Amino acid sequence: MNTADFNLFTVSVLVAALTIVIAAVYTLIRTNNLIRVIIAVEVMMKAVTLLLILAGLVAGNMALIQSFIITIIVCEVAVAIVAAGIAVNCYRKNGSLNISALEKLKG
Amino acid sequence: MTGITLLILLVIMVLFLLLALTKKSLLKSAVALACASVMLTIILFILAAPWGAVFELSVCAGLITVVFISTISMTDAKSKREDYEERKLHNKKFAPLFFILAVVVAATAYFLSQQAGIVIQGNELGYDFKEVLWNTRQTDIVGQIVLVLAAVFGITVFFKEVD
Repeated sequence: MNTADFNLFTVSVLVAALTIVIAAVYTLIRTNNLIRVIIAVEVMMKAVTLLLILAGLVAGNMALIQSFIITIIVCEVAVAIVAAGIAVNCYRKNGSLNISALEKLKG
Repeated sequence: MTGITLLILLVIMVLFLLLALTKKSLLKSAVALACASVMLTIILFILAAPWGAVFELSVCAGLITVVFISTISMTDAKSKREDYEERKLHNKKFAPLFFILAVVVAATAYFLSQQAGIVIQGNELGYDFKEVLWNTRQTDIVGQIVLVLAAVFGITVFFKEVD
């Protein structure tokens, strides 16, 4: 990749990551649905992955960044599965995926 | 040429992610998220990160989509009235988002275009991925095993027998 391509890629990744994070945070604030909250967190993880790729390119060490990306993906899966389990059990208990239903839990 | 290709892929990926966030149907959201993962996979392949790309494709586009679809199918029981009210609210909810995004993207792109270019150091300096993963970042592997175990416990909760 030459310098012009790299600069174009840098600018577009930064803009894309900012766009994704703002959209995901907005969704997290406005939504009441537990599944959509999980989707918003997953979307934010994509922005983190993009920024990691950019960091790897700038530092010139894609091997290290690939190991970080794999770690991020494993974290993503664990978060998604545990959160989905919570959502399903919340639905079984309350009959709704609304976040405000979680307030009814004891403890 | 590579820069333009990556830019197009990034734009498609961002569009899929916005669809995932704003679509009313959760099933369509999950599919859009999987499509965005596929775009990220192609970007990773182009940028010489094949191992990351393989994990992204198999895990993010595959496993997470399956988890989402299972969750949606296990919880899909909504009254018509609830559905109608949610649809009415949903359209209003995301209207300001696109305005905010347009302003932020325009401002950031203008600010970044004024900055001097970053000097690239080269994306392949001869580091070996296997050596980095198994020797340099050994502790990460332990952390990942713990996370996988947490996910396994998550699965047991997910498919727990209902009394």
